[in-house]
Amino acid sequence: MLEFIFEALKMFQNPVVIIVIIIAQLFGVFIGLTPGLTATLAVALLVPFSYFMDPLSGIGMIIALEAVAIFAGDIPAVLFRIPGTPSSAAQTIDAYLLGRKKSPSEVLYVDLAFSTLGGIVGSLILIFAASLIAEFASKFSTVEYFWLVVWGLSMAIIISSEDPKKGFIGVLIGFLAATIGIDYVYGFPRFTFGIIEVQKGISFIPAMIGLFAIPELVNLSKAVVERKYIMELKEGIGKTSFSLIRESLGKYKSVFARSSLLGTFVGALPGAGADIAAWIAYGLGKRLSKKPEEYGKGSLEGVVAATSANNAGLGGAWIPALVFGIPGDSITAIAIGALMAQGLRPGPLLFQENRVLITALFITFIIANIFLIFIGYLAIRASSKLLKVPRNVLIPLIFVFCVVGAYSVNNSLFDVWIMFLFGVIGVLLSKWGVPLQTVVLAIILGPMIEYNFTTSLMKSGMNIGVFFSRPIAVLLSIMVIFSWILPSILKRMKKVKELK
Amino acid sequence: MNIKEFIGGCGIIAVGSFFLYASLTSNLPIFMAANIPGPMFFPVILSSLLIILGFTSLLQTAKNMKEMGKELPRIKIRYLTLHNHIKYPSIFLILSGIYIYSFPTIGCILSTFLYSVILQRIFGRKWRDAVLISLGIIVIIYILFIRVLRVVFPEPIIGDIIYLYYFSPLLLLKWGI
Repeated sequence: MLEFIFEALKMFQNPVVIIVIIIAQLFGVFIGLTPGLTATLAVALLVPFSYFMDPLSGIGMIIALEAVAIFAGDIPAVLFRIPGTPSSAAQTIDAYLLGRKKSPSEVLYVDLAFSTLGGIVGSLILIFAASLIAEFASKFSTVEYFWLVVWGLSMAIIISSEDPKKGFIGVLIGFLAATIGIDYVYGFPRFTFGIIEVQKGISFIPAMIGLFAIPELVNLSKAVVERKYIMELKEGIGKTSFSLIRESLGKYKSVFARSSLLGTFVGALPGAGADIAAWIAYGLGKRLSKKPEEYGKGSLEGVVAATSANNAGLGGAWIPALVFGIPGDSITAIAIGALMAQGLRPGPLLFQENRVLITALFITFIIANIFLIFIGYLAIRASSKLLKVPRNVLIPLIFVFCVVGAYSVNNSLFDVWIMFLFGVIGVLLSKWGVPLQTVVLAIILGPMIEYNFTTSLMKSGMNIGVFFSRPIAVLLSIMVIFSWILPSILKRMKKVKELK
Repeated sequence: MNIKEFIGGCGIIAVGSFFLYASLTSNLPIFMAANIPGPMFFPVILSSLLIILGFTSLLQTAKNMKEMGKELPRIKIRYLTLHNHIKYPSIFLILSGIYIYSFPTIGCILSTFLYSVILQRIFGRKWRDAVLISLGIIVIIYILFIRVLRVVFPEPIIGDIIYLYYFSPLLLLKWGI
């Protein structure tokens, strides 16, 4: 193991890797700070650049960016009561009210400290768990993979939306989009309508850029004339004081430990991601708190719980992504596309064939979280200036980068149209309340379901019993059934509670 | 809420029907020998499910018709106040479509410049600022994508001007003069 660590550390002697990490984090600050723009969009915009880099720089860039973007989303939450990214929504009210009571900068430093610590806990769990699970997963056959992917999609449907029907529709649309092009089992072209470019299927990265960027730009353009700047901060961010960090580190150790562990676990569930991790940790924190009445009125404990969980969730989301190729959230969904573009197929084999690279990626998680301290500090100090970017400049700038980025992937104008088409689909679906992450997950997981289902049946001579012939497969199928009946159980429990 | 559900339901039925029709009319089989799922097995199942879900949405909307009748005036007021919120996104989407269309026709640099200037002007920015910022965007794209990443963009007009500068006789041949 040590030899892999030394070999991996050698890869960081290349200054390009560190420079790329820093640039990505600076970009992440800007996107995270901007309400309406998400970390997913930032990753989608950067992925085309990863094609021109070595795997460590390309994937390291994504890891570094997401860590800082999630934190930067907390800055407008504290200053304006507007979360910069959805992951900051859980603690927004508490962070804002606490900022009014104390000073905004004091709350932001606490936020930064617990974001960093949460991120490190998530990364450490990823490092230890991923290798162990990968060893176990190497024994999986197509049957286990089939159930695993079905379970992943089922969880995504349930978790990502209040209305599972909408989540299901998202999955069906994504899955249907994935069937376009040459099919994975027999090699027949499907829905190509004689267009040669369609034969290779829907280009994943342009589709992702469109799905995540265009709906956000459309939202941003709604008030482009009324609100000139992203945000305007007239008062300062307050005095620089670290006393609140000392107080919270001593007082909320157990809250931090519980929230970061919970955040990592929730982050690892497909479709969940950092935002849901933050809400669950916040909710649990309130339930177990000695002063639950303070939650929602400027509770420091609430801020610690949510911010530790959302950054820990980032590491967790990479566990299923690297081990099974099943993304934990929309960022890792795009990262899987970037990994594949680098010729790396996520799965247990990745851990056997590219151990040095995997170790280097794990080290990147730690480095990114350490860098977060410095970049985060700079972001807090510069936030009032960064937030003063005019909206009418931001919209054309981001869209131009979407077009140029989508074109650069394959030097193809067809990909640019794919980006735009998926963008319009994304606008319509998000207006209707369909969670876009389910569409993305289905585009990635759809071919896996089809391949594993058909191959299992072929191998068994069309025996349906093959799906229940192995103990892990049976366990996974029970998990799938449980995840389907879970919403109705929860609904019934809620009704009973209300009646009481 | 109900109108959204109705339009959404209709859209889903349309998408599902399109894929179902394309699956059933293609020459590819739904089942292969020994009833093993064929290349059109999943598309047929997925599109059928979409149609079913679309009809479920429509049925739900029909069920809530009475409530919708009560809500109508509120929707009307909301529509009027949302007018500006529809105008700018629509302009953005239409202009973006034109930009992508013009990308290969007039080239990356020119189309990007024009798109950026026009959009900024519509969004209320002054001429001078819009032109300067657009020039800045072009410089970033040129340095980052063309010089550093060596991406080859379509440049029929600017490309021809450069070509003319170096190889004017060949260009005359290309234009058929």
